[in-house]
Amino acid sequence: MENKGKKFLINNIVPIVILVMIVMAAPISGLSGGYLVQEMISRLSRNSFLVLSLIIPVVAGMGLNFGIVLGAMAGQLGLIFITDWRIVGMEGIVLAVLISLPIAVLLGILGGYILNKAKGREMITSIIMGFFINGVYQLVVLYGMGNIIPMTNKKIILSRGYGIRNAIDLKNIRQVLDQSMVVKVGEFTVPLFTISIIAALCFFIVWFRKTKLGQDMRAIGQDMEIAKSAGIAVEKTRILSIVISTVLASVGQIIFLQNIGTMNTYNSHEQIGMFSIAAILIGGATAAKASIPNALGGIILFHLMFVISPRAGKELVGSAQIGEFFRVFVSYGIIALTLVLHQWRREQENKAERKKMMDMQLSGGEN
Amino acid sequence: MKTIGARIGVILAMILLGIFLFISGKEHEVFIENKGEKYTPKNAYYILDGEKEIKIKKKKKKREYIKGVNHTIEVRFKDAGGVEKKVVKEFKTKMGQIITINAAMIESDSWLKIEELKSKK
Repeated sequence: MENKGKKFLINNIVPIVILVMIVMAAPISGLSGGYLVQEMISRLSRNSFLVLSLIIPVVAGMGLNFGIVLGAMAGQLGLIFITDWRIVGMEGIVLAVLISLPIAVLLGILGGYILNKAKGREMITSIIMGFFINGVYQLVVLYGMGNIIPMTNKKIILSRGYGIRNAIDLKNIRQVLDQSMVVKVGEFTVPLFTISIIAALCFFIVWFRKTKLGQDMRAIGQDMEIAKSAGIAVEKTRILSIVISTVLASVGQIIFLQNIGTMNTYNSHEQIGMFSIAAILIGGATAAKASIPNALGGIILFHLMFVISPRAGKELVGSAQIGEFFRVFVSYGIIALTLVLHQWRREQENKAERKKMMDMQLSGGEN
Repeated sequence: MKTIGARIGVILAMILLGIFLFISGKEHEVFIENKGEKYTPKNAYYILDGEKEIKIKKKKKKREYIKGVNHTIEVRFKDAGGVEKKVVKEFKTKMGQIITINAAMIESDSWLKIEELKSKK
């Protein structure tokens, strides 16, 4: 019984630590329960798609895909084009998705190919790959757009005649998804359409895991060599998992930005990978195991901390800036802590496995 | 061969859907004015595509944004005899055109003025 409790504690140490911090900080912040619930509904609909896009590469054993930044860039390119062409409403959102799809697929293939060359070091490789593609993105957006790629909307072009402005007002598509079907539950406003899209993605992930491809990915995630000897096209399947993740991230970024209503052309995508990964890790996922409850629970915990900590910091020390520092420190600290804990758990498991094998050999020798 | 065909089919369908979305989601600029040749009502009221009713004063011009190709405008005003009139007209928008609707002349044939945009060189 004591062992079970200890195991539960070790397995869920990250969400438990964050929950304790939230429980301690919530009364200090002075924020009402109703306000926090409404904030969580809004933030769940804004971020879930992005965080859920991380699950499939984990299933395929590729760790946490910091390369979702690539997908986010593709989504932003779609949004730049529809803003330039003045396509508004739901049509604008769907067209942005259509434009971003081929770009996300190409970036996903490139990412998957590179990650296949760096087996075992996927996470760090995908971080660096994100930085590299970010450079290419900036070159295209800052120099190519208006110069090579024709742009007509003067509101989004820099005064020199080429390059996109630092911030783009997405008023043409602002909260189109969120406000297309709204339900009032008591005092809370629920964006039903966006939540339906997220629910559809959850069903897709559940269904996908049961398909042949999903089973292949799981087999690769468990042991690549055994999967290879079983006749699974390991490299192709790994590329596919990254392509799916990148495509989902591009759609996720469009959902995210339509909710916010403003796009920071050169920064919006940069933090996405880090924050989405922090959220899924806070939900209890590891680099080898992630599920839908991890993603959704993680978003709630992460954003509760995001909302509460600056106010709690302000109430405690009289400076909201301290709260900001606190949440940045916690979000990056959580990633480091979880990765360390994951490695420690793997070592413990390996140690237990070795001990078991030695015991078996010894007992076999005696017989 | 079958797979390649299916892939080409999907790409073509996506392109067609993209073109449809581009046309149906395109935002157009329309000018509404209240300036008649013989008679101009003091105030005219118009509803574009079933949206909110907007008041336009005598000899004023307003800019509106509408989405897609097919549109309706409903204009309400008092004629020279003080009789309340309500007229509904349909019009189409195309890329590269400036459309001006004259609320004061909505009953005549010259209610709609279409100008082609000149490209800058």
